[in-house]
Amino acid sequence: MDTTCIDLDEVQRVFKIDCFQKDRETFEKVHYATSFQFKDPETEEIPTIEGWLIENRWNQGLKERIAIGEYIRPFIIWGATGTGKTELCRWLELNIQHNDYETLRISKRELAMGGVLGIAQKLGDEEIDLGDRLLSRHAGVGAENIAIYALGHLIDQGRIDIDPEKKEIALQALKQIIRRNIEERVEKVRRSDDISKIETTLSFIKTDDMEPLREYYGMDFDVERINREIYRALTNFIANVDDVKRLMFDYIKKKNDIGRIPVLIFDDVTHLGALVDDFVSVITDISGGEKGYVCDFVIGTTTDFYISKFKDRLASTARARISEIKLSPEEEGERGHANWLLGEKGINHFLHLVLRYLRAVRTCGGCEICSHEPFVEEDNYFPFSKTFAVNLYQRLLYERGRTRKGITVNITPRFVIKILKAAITKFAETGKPPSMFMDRLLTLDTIDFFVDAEQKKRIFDVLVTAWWYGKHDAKGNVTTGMETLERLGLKDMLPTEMQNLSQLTFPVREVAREAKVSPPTLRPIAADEVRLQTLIRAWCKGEESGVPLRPIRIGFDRVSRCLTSYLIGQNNFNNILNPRSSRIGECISFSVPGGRAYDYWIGEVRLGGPQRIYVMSKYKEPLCRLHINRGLIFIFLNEDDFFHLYKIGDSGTETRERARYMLSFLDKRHQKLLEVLRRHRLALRNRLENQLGCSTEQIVLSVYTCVANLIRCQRGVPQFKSVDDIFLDPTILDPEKGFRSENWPKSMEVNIRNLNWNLATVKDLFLSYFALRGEGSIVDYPLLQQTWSEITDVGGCLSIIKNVGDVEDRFALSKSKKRISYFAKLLTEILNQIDEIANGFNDKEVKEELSGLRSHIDKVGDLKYLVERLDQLSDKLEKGFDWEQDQVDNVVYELDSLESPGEIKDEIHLLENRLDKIGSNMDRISVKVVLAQLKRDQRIQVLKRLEGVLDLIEQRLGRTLEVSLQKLQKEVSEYIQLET
Amino acid sequence: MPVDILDQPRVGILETLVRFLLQNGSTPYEDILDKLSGTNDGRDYLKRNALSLLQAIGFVSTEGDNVEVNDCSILVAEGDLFSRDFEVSFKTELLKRIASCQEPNVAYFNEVLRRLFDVEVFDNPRLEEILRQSRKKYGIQVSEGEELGGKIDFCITFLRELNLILTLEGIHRVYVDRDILRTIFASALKAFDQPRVKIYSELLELIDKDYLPVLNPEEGCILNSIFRVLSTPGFAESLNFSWVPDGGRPLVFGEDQYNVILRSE
Repeated sequence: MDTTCIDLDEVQRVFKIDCFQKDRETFEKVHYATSFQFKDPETEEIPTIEGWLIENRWNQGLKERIAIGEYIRPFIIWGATGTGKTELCRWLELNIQHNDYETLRISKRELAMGGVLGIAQKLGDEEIDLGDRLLSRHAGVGAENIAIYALGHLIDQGRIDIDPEKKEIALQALKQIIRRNIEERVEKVRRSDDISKIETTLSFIKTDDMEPLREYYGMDFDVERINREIYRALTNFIANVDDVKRLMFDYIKKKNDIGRIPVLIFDDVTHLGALVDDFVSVITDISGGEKGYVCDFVIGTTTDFYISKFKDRLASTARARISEIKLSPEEEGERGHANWLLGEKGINHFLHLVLRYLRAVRTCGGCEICSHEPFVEEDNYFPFSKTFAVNLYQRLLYERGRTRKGITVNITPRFVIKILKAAITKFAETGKPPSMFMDRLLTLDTIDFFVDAEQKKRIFDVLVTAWWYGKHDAKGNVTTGMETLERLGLKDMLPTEMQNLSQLTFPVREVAREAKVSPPTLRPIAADEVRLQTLIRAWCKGEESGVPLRPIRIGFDRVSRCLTSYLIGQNNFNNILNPRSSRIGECISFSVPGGRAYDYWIGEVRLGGPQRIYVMSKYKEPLCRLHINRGLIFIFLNEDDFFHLYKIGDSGTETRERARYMLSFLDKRHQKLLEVLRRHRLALRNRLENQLGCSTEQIVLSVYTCVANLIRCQRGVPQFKSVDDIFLDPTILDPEKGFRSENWPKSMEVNIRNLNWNLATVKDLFLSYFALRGEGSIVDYPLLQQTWSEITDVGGCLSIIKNVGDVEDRFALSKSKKRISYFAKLLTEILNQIDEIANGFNDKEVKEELSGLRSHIDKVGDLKYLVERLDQLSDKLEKGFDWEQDQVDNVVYELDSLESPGEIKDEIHLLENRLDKIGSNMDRISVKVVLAQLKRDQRIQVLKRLEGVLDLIEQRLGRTLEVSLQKLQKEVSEYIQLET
Repeated sequence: MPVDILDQPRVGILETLVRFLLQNGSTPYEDILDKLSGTNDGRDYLKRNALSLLQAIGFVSTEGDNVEVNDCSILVAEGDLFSRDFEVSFKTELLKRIASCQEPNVAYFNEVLRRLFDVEVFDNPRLEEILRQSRKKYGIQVSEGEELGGKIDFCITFLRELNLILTLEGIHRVYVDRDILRTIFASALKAFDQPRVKIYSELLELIDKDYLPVLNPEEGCILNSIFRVLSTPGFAESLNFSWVPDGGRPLVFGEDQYNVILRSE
């Protein structure tokens, strides 16, 4: 591209970052009409422009001002860096035309050079540059000597600690330090193109200087206070008065006396740093004490400095007179931007700003090179085009507030000027269209908007240029005329088949590659959204109740659910689980009323438990202090956050847009939300534990241990004595090997059966709390150990279980849907039954039963021998006793396959021994259950059956013999009767 | 096979192991396995993955048959070892140990973090690409066609358990835990032991070298994800950034950067 119309020297001259660096002619050429929000002490905030301000605030002379009692008027211009404060200050300096007013501007440079000394210098009579003044020396005496003289006095007064012997030498060293710091400062300010980069005021002694002073001279003092003393000493030197306050009074009086009203314009008092206190006291004293003085202060300051250091320190008299000129929005997240470049008219202001600079920088008045399409559209935008400028604006809107590689895009005139300057400079240096530098300047990846990967490789530069110079349509295409590409010198880069087309259209993605869930739309905020924002803002401030809360509620639900993935081993913050467990199993969950993700309430405090999260407007924070002190959980959000939540929850929001809002919200608030949700879980846990009367870990471990002990009781083995015993038998709660309810006393059968059905749940619950991985292969041993010792301290598992209180239905086990107290209740019932049965336990009876069993076994003796004898018996019964023989054969068969009944003797023996050592009811029930089990043992059953068969045979044989005998008797008696 | 940082993704296991050792002091190796696991699988897992990893990064060391926790600069070894403070200090110490580890099979994870922190949003294929590039950079053989399937899942779990990412509809977004970052800054500031520290040439460089990747060396600026956390309300204030000037003045990040504000809202 031909760069003749642009001259690099002119670019450097016009595109100065700080407006005071421009000569008056250039300033007027490039000045753009600033608009802002204006609020004076008596009226509502209104949007207005600079011209209105002059017409309405600087239209009355000295007499009228005195007549209506308008003496001191501070105007505070506040906004983020680069939003146009200095521009407005300079414009006011040049444009307050009323004869009675006399403007005096103390620039950023002067304030940066010497803080309040800058003010003193400006108000004094001498027209010497402050830097020269500070550096000047007469007969070898300079500002540093005055400072040292003052410090010497302070030492004499004992206000500086120092070894007296080292005083002189220390002061000599300090003199050099002060001189060096002044020199460095002056040079830095003079060298700087952008005073904004100088962040502090002049420090005669820096904190860094203290270390050698301490080490070598034993000197110690408060650096800030001593600097202030030096400032005071030098004020006299600069302006022949003791302090700046007196100087200002004198200055104003002098002007009023000649019928003039001074307008003291301070570009940016941020540079005063800690010395701002002196400045504030000047404003306050003049406002309150010196009635009769008429003066205006126009004070520029950054938003944060104004709020944190300035506003509150002004006395009420001064505050009541302040008019505020706001150049940045107040909403959090938007404060970095210029408010006049946002909103409906933002694009107009933007184009106006761009055009002012482009006109000023072009050396020709419109020539063959620049007066063509695409550069000319209504106005001449060479080397850009109007479409380019619109695309840039929309792109900045899209990128605003986002941070890429450490750069946050803020929509401010300074930002725009810097981009334009850099792009035009590159264009003038290389002859390439500015589109090819935009990505580098803004650290963007425009190429990612294109879909076709092959094209991206082949015609990278053309695509990027097409994006910036082309028109974007609603269907997701960007179209660029071939003539445009030709003018930009890119046509030759196209493949031949494309060169013959009149225009090129490429499909483009609406989001960047790495931001699939990022904003899809490149448009200014729609009018209805502005209305919604206004409504939400009013609602936040308590002025409006018509905001539909449902979308906000759904939005909060969606956002907070997202945070679940930040956790380990649990589904959400309503689950009360060892957070280090990676296992997703059975856990205690709080079911939230109203179908919400969490127990929260939006916009107002309603009676609810301390676990409830109140999502409130930040404006209501002071009203909630009492509740906060009571331990209720609050999250305070601003209007922007609520707007985001609304958009996230609104069914009309497109998926991509929703994701964009979601990310934007999470970027700012996810930590806060996580913190609140953690507190919510803690509160839920406390609530549950209050109801239970013990910790959740204690109840989980107690239930597990108690159930496992009951199974061990059934097996007749000792109960857990230490935490390590728990892992001796990891399969203890296996439902396959669980309880045999038939062995338990009849009255307990139902409960034992219920317990058996829930073994898996008890085990699962235990593992969810104490296992760190998989099914329990790694255990949170420290937690387990600690819980065990806690349980031991309070009297053991049984004591915990028996004392569990009623737990509300909302706390339930998430998988089985059982209440946690269900197990406690069931086990308590079982334990009570055990106590009851144990009360009726009779050692003697048990011993007799055992002895009966033993006698069965004794009768059996040697099993092999018994089988042989029975076989012989069977043979003998062969004739005439078929049925009896079958019975004997059956028993022989059973006996043959039976294990040695002698082992039962050992079991009986063990049980008899345990009977002698019984210590608890659990031991008693254990004996009963094992006894029942023994009695039901197959071996005992077979032996009993054998006894029955033998009895039967005996009876049968007996009866047969009896019948034969009777028959014989009968035959004998018949024979005797016959003989006689 | 050398220990790979992604052999075991469960930060909770490592945390519990360290807590156990802190509570019990120097402990016989076998005792640790006995106490923390009820099964053979668990013992193997602990031995192969957890203990060897902690040893590889110098978190614990073996003295004879006993294992003990080494001296730690960040880990809070006193007070409530079940508290969030302990959790945060453990995770921070773990990251520090990983950052300082010279073993290629561990050190490559720093490169993974650096790349992830710069892209902010990523999906599994992107993560695989990053893993491959990072491993390659540290001389770990990765064939072009090789699938890192298992490692991808482990890496996601590991990052999640370290509170470094958040997953939204299958897309992972880097969200470095503010408490962890705050602990890192506090620890690094303490290491300087001087009233004033240069943010770029001193503080961030130290953090980048010894704790967690925070700088993009090519661009000479802060990694996106880290910058986002630094910019969240209250973060800078909580660290007493006395050198962050009053009034939200711009910080100059890099040579030709502008309008860069460490927002304090």
